[in-house]
This record gives sequence, structure tokens and C-alpha cells, in this order.
Amino acid sequence: MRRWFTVLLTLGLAGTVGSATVASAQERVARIVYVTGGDPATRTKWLDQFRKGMRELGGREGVTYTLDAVGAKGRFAELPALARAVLDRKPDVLLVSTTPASLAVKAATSTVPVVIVAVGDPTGIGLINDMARPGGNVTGLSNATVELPGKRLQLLAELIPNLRRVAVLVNPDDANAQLQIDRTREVADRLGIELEPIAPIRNLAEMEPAYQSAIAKGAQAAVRLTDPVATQLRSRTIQLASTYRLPTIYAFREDVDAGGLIAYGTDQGATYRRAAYFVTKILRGTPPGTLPLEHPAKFELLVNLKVARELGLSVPDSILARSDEIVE
Amino acid sequence: MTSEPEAATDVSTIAPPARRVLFRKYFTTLFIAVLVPLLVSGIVEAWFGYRDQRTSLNGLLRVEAESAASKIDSFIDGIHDQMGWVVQLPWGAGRDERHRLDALRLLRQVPAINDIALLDGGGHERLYVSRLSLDRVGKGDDRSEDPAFRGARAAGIWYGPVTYFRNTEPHMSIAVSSNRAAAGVAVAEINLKHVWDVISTIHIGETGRAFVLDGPGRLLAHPDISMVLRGADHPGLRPLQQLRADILASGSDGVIGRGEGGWVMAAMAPIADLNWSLVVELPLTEAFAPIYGALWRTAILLVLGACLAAGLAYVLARRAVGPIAQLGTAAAHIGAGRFDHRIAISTKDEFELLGNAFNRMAMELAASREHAERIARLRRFLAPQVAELVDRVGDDSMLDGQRREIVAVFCDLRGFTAFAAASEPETIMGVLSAYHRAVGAIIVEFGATLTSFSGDGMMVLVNAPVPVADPALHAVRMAARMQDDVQVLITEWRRDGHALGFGVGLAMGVAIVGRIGYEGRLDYTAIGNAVNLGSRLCASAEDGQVLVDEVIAESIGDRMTLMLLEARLLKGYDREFKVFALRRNAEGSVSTAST
Repeated sequence: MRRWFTVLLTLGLAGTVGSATVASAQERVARIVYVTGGDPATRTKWLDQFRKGMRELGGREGVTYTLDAVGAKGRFAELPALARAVLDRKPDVLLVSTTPASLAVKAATSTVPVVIVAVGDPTGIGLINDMARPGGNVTGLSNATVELPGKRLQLLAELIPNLRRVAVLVNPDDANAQLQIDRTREVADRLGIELEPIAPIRNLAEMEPAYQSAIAKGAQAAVRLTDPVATQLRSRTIQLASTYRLPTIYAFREDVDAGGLIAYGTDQGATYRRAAYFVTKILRGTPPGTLPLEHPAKFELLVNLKVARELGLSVPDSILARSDEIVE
Repeated sequence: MTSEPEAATDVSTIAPPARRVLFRKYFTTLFIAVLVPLLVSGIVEAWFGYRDQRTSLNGLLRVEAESAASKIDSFIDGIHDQMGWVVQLPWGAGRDERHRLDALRLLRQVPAINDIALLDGGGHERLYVSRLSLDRVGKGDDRSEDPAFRGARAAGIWYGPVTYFRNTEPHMSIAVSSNRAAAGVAVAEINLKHVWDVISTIHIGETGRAFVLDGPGRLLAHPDISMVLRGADHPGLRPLQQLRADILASGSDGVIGRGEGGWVMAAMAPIADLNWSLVVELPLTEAFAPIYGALWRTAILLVLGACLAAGLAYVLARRAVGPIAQLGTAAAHIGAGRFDHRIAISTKDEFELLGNAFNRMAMELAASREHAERIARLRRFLAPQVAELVDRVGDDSMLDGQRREIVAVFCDLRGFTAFAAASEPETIMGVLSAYHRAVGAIIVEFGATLTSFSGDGMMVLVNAPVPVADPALHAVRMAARMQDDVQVLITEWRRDGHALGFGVGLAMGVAIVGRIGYEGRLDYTAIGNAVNLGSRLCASAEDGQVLVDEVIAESIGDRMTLMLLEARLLKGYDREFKVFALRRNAEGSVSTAST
């Protein structure tokens, strides 16, 4: 009699309690910190794309997450200290862009989840070993900057008849600088092009000498390799390319939008937007090590015909045919 | 009857368990009354809901799977349709640039194509353009033995095996041949990651999804691209492969199985050209949401029912326990003999009736005890028959004062004073007790009433309070028996040397009879002339004589033999009375001396 009574009562009550406990796990505000080796101020457009991605996945800034952005503005030596300072803020996820920053963060923590975005060659620089199963605390997206310089050189050769000598504009402090140079050289050798000079650009002050040296060495064109500082030096680079009449190929559509001649690469904005997927998954409990790194699958070619005309270049049909966007 | 402390424990042990037991009983009864119909209707609803839902979902998921499969199909078809353009024109002098532009435009047009090689009719590579690698132009390797070339030549379209680029991205070659041999074959490398663009737009219900497995069970497309990029042999794919195996094994439209994220209902459609399978899955939580809804409703109703039953049981138990406790207390009090205890229940139901019955019972018990005590008192002076009568009638009003024709019978021992003075107390008590025993027995036998006795003298009433037929005769017979029986004793006493005699006197007349005395010492007596006369007649009777007055003598007539003695003056009276004596028979007995 007593037992039945208890059974009936618990049977009734069990139902109501069960449903309530399931729902409330991730309701607190997640702290996301964005770390770059460059200047975060020049990356607001991309971060807005990240915010858009978060919004599409149900995130609301200030309600479900906060986003702070910090950067070394090209002073890579400061990155380890910056990484430690960021970790002191107890972030839930770090969104890390640029190769030097990702290496600094990786050195500083092996527990806080890290989503890399716009890192050229994650396996090449030793950030992770296996794209499909990264393990550890790092995952995210590559932007293939290391794979593309060769293709860019080929496009440059197609645009400029009898291309023999090309200057390489590169920041030697960037950890993947050598990888990019090697890749470019590989293609240059096959196309019979001489890479001269390899002009270092670490900051604004080194820009003009780099162009002067390129002209002095008789370079017919230039390949602008990517590094964290390239974004903040963009307008100066394009200005000098015009001043010294040196046809230059870039990595991003932003370069062509700002007056650059030609660019071939990935859509950085789309990459940032996609990074929101990784952040959201991790905030919902997926271990970062189980999320495969994503490699870009879309590459875009942009040509600025106006700049080409100024430089006295006629853009061949083969370039026009494969261009995704042609700026008149 | 219980003593008082015991009664107190009775009171305390009746009430509290009653509440718990009653509450449980009421609750269980009410709950079952609520639960059984609810459960039955809930289960029936869920069962039929499940069958209907299962049937309709089977069809629905099948349609969804086919529609999704056709989307994937047309995505792949779109690619090789586009590839058809680059194999339209034959190879020949000066046409290389034209082909290159076609190939570059194709790359721009179809983002899924990573690179494309154009082979001429002889199987030689004439052109290679790529998004990542270096383009090649001009006559190159002989690829006429490639499966791609041969396959496309044979069937028009050839699909290569799925390979994993960097162990993560699924890629596949597609080769398309022109129907004119001279136009050659186009071999494109497809990045299957782009199928995501299609698969991610396929929605199955709210939370369902579609995915694509190739023949060996590798995941090619899934809305969660990470699943695909984990590579071909990731253990996480097993549930998906198992799901497909279940569908193939069951042969029916849909199965319920364990998907990657929980239990799902799944259906499949083949993508025949590629030997791929498109599986759609719908989580059971959504698929059977209406049934879960019904179950939830039932559960909630059960909880509400339980609360209602508990509430009602509580109220009912409370309402029952108060009166029951009162009744229990009352029973204990009555048991302890406190009949003045009263119950105040005003529930306007059976409890109130029971309480009233209890109160009545207590009153009746009290009345009964009072009556019993009164009867016990009456027994002292009433003959047992009288006492019984009063008892039976339940009313002693017959003892109340009233005028009545009675016979007063007096008797005493002659010479007792002298005997008492000369004898030992033991001897006196022995004589008296034998005498009382003999006379008492006759009084009882005749149903007369002993009103008083003092030493050897006794006063006995006949016809009061118990009426008898023909009181005069009755009294005379009684007197005769007394005389006879006592005379036997007297003979013995005389043998012992005690000079004792016995005389009886009777008179009849109207007298006031009834109780006299005070609370604690009540007597029944008669007051009237007959009493006085009887007493005087007794005093004047000699040993062995039974004297009666004129009234008795007339009443008896000749039914017994009476002798008229000479008129005598009696003490206290100023006139002479006719006095009659009962005549003795030959043996000296008076009792049988009737004619």
C-alpha cells in the first residue's frame, strides 16, 4: 500500500522536473578575443563579416558573446607578451589571424580554444599536423597564401609580355615569408623568370627603398607577398606602384578596390564569416581538435582595367575570361 | 469497563494513524480513478498517432530523399553539361587559344572544378588549366590509356573514384567526351566540398537533414561540412553507414535508427549514375513531436490528476478524521463510564448521524445504569417477583404512593423476650435465622411484600405493590403456611427447652401504599387502618393462632373454615371488633383446614 502510494506520487512528479533541467547550459556571455599580428583597426570590415556569421548562427554581440580585438601592428616581438595578456582576460575562444600571431598564441596556451583565420599554411609552419584531425586546441581556416604566389606569378607573366625579372615585396619577419618565397621561386624557375630583388618591407619606412631597389634592379613587375603588415601598408603600396609604374599583383580583392592592378586569392571576408561557424561550434561544446581545418575552395581573380591602361598594359582575353570581377 | 488511563491511551491511538491511512486510501482511489482513463486514452492516442505518423513520414521522407537526390544529380549533371562546351570544337591548327579560353571560362563558370585537362582525339593532353597549379599549354603527355579517357570514350561520361585531397577534401574526376572523336575528352577534377552548397539548402522538416554516402560508405556531403572533412575513415561515420545498411536491409521505405546525433527516422534514394546514396534523416523528436506532445499532455494531466487527488484526499481525510477522532474519544469516555460525554459533529452527513447516535447511546446507557441502580435498591424490600416486574416494566412508578386495598399480615414469636434474655446470642441468632428463613421463603413464594421486620416481628403486605387476585384468600393461605411451618420449628425449639410460640394477625382494608424514607434509605410501606388492625390482631393472637378481621372473613366466606371468636376490645380502639380464627384440622394444621 505505502509503496504503491510512493510510486504513484513520484511517477507524477518525475515528469515535470525532467524537462526543465535539460535546457540551460550555454546562456552565459562568451568572451571572444581577436588577436592579429597586424592592426585590428584595418580589419574592421572583416571582423564585421565575422559578426555577420555569428548573427547567422544565432549569436548576438553583447548578449551571447563579446568580441575584443587586439593587435601587434607589425611589432611581432610584442606578440608573446600580447598573447599572455589576452589569456589573462580568460577568453572562451581566441580568434587569431596572421601567421606570427597564431604561432605566438599557440606557444602561450595549449588549452584555450583557438580558431585561426587567414593563416597561410597551418601545416607548413607547424601549427598543426593533420588538417582532417588537428587534435589539440587549434582549428580554423587557412587562406592558402602560401600556395598561391606561384599562380600569381603565372598570371603576371600572362599579363606582361616577355616577363623576365620580377621583384618580390615581402616582410622577412613573417614566419611564412620563406615558404612564400620558395613557392614563388619554384614557379619562376619553371617559367624562366628571375626573382630580383627580394625587397624587404617590415614597415612604412622600408617601402619606398623597396620600390627604388626594384626599379634599380630592372624588375618589370612585382609580386606583393602577404604578411600582417601588408593590410595597413596597402594604400602606400598601391600609391608607390603607381608612382614607380611597377605592375604589381596582390592577394586580396581589397587591393584592387583600392587601386591595385590585379589580385588573385581568397575572399578574406568570407573566411572571417566562416570562422563564426568554428567559434559557435566550440562555444557549444565541440572540442576544437575534432573540427577539421578548412581550406579555401573559392579563389577570385580581379583586374583593374583603369590601372592597366595607366600602366600601358593591354589585358589579354585569357585574363579577362577567368576574371571574377573587372574594375573599369 | 476500562480504567481511566487505558481510556486515555485509546483516545490517543485512534486518531493520528487514521488520518494517514485514510489519506492514502482516498488518494489511491481517486488517483486510480483519474489515472486509468487518462493512461488508456493517452496510450491509445499515442499508438494511433504513431502508426499514422509512421505511415505518412515513410512516404514523406521517401519523397524528400528523391527530391534531394535529384538536386545532387542535377548539380553533377550541371557540371558535365558545362564541360560539354569545351569538347565541342575539334583540335586543329590555331584552335589552341580558343580551347584555352573555353576552359578558363568554364573554370570561372563552375566553381566546383579545381582544374581541367583537355585531351585530343588521340588521348594526348593539349591543355591544362588550374586554380592552384600552373597551367600547361601545348601537346603534352599521352593519356590515352587513362581510365578517364577510355571511360569517357566508351560511355560519353566517366566518373572517377572519390579521393581525399590532403586526406580531408573529397575530390572526384569527371571525364566528358564529345560525340565527335576529334573533339577529344575533357577531364575535370571536382572539389566535392561544393556539393555542400546544395546539401546545406536541403531541409527535412525543421531539424532533419540530408547527406550523401558513396558506394563504399564514405561521406561526401553533409550540412555540417566538418563531418565530411574529417576524412574517409573517421569512426564518426559509422552511425551514418549503419543507417544506410539498415535501410538497405529492411527494404521498406524508412527505418528508425541511431544517427550521428541521436535517434532518427531515415529514408534513402539512390543517385544511380554515381552509385551514391542520398539519405535523409529526421530526428524522432521532430518526427513524432505530435506523439510526444500527446504523451506530454498525458503526463501533465497525470501530474495534475495526482495533485487534484492529493488535494481532495487531504480535504476528505481531514473531514473524516476530525469526526472519527471525536467518536473515538467519545467511545473511550463512554467505555470509562462517563456517560455525560457528548459529541458535537455538524458535518451534515453520516458522521453527524453517527455522532447523534453515539450521543443517544450515551444517554441511554446513562439511563440504563440509573435504572439498574434503582432496581438494585428496590430489590432490598421488594419481593424478587416485584423487583423483576419493576425491572421488566422499566418503571417504578407502581411504587409511587396510592390508595389501595391491601391485606396487612403481621406475625411474631411469643415468649421471645424472655427467651432472648435467658439465652446466649448465638442461640438467639440461630433461632431467628431459622425463623426468618422459613417465613421469608413463604413470603417469596406468595409474592408478598416484606415491608419491615424488627427482631421476631414482621409486616408483610399482600396486593401491593403487586396486585393479586382475591387478596384475602391469598393472604390467609400464606398466613396458614407460615403458622404450619413455624410450628414445626417451635416443636424443635421446645425440645431444646426454649418456650417459644408463634402468632399471626391479618386485616384488610384501603391504605396508602408507597415508598417512604429518604435518598439512600427507602422503604415501601402501607399506612391505613388495616395495618394498625392487623398489628393488633397479631398482638392478641395466641401461639398457633391465625386471627383475621371481619373484612377478610366476609371476603373468604366459606372457602376456608373460620371460627368467630368472642368480640374483643383491641388496644388503641374504642370499640369491640369481631375477630375470626382459622380453624385447625385434625392434624393440627391450619393451612389445609379449608372446606
